[in-house]
Amino acid sequence: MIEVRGLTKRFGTLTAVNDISFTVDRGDAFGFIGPNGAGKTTTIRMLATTLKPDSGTVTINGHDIAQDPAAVRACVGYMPDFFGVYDDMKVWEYLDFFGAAYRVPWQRRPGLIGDVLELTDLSDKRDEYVDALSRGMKQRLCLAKTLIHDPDVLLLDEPASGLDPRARIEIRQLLQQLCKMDKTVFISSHILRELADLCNKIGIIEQGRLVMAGSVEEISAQLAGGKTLIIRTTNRLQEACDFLAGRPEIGSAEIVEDAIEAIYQGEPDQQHRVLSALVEAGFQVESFAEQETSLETLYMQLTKGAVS
Amino acid sequence: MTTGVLERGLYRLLRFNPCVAVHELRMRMRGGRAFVVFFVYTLMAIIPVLLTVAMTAWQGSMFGPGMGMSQTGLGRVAFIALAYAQLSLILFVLPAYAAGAITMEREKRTLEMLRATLLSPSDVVTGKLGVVVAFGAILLMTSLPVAAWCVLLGGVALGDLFYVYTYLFAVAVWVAALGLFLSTLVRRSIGAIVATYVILLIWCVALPILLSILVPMLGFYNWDPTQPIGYVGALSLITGFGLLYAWLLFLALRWLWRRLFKHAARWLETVVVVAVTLILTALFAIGLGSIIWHPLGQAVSWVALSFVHPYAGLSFILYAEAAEAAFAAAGTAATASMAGLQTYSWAIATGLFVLMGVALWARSVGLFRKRS
Repeated sequence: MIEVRGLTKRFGTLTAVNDISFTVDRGDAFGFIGPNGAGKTTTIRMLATTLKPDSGTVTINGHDIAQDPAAVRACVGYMPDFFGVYDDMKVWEYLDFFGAAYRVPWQRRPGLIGDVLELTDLSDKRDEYVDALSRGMKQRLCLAKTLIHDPDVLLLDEPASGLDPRARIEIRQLLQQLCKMDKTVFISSHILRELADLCNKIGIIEQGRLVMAGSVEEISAQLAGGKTLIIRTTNRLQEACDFLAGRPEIGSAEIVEDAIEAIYQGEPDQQHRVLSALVEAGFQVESFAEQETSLETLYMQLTKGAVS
Repeated sequence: MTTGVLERGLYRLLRFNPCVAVHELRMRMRGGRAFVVFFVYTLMAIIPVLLTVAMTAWQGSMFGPGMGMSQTGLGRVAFIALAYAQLSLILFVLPAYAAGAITMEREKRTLEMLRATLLSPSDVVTGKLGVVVAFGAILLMTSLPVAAWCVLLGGVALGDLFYVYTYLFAVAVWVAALGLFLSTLVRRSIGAIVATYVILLIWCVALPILLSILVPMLGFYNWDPTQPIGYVGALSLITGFGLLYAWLLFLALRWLWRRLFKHAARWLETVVVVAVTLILTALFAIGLGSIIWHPLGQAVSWVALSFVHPYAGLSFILYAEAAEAAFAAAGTAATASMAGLQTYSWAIATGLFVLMGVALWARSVGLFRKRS
């Protein structure tokens, strides 16, 4: 698990990460979302112990990053946003090198290399040169490298950036598999769809500040303004809209294309009353549905896009 | 809990992770590239030897037998040519390998991943330095057959072979450490490589030229002829004081530079401070030499200086024996003090280069740690 308290990092006069705190429990998949330049990479680098924070504490699996960085590194797999590969190096050698760098005993390395190659679907590329692989394969290889010492915590910085749709989907499937393996996964991205199906928790960062953090449901509930109802009628749409706007539990109602979008602000379990009222008033209700708040909607509501 | 320095050192030694070295060797020795370098190196080392032999043969045919160099002289001259050629090659080839070692990782964006692993700064720096030094050792070894040929031609003792090759190895350690140090100091490969070559050029070429102009102008000459204390005594004194003086001077100059030029590039600082330190230390040693020991004072101080100059150090090892012999033949008072000059100068010169190499290695590890 990851526990971050008051983490701050300044570069000169710029405060890249400003007093952020959050907790990621074991087995959680935490999506760290924010526009480019919001401080995602800086935060991840501090968690991975490659950058020293100016203030604040981080403990990963009970080890403090400042007190015992070696213990943190041993249980963390880190995939940077920009990563390089070496020329003149074969896939298995690349993995063997990182295995050795993480002090995996040499007897165990061949087996582990086989395992991670299979997981990342690169088994047939074992003896190919790393620089001859496609970008998507390199990204998968880097993930394989991240897994070579079987870390409990994965820190993945934009794992699917710059990939074509197919490779993107492959990476996502791979990540889903990892989430099921009871690892704590911390993924950053500026693209919401990447994280929507993967994560059970999200944190949104903008201009170095954590705007919000928690489970997707929690964040939806915290958002003021209530739920959006989508209502279609076969007759008198405008009248129905005016009727709804006049009711106390409806915040506002307007016609969008062929449906009414009404913001419901009443008691959570009293939504059916709106429907009954509509029917009693003689409107022929064709559909009555609650719009699911997507991550994308949340994101757009929470951030002002000041950085990007 | 406090542990002793020795214990900690031993612990580190036992914990040393050689995977960086293995990984570097895999990359550097792969394919034909390394062997092309070995081949060209041997070729370049052979050319001066062949030229020397050909010249002697030509002289012999022009002026009749016995008029050219004697057979014993031939082996020695060929060996000297080989030694200088190898020193130049080492100074030319190794910086390119060493100066890119860390900056390449930064440019290829692999440094960040390396830092996140359990490798310590000394694992990375030592592994990389070890491979460049090993590469230098292999280069030197490829020329051993040529050296053996010189021995067969006569005039070269096995002791000479040992002194020269160990000295060249020490210079290789120093050059590799210098390149690696600049690789951790400078951000980009091209900058690190240029800075290494610039420092070597100043050190090996510009400095002697400058001194040969400055010294006669300043005229440190004999004003207090005292009893000779012997070459060895004078050398120890001048080298010892010279090193102490050089170190203090270096610190002072760096302090001054950092106050005067706050935003200057680090490589420029290194180049200027090292160059100025070297020039002033040279003048100091010459002055000291002239004062403490009159008759051969200047010669001795030149010799003291030569210990930090790769070519001069080599010359001294190669010619000390001849000097000993000449003195013995002349039967001067200084004869006794010349005994063991070759061994002594070899020990100082080799030791100093290894020491400088180790100091640069330690600084590189420190810098690497600080930057992570």
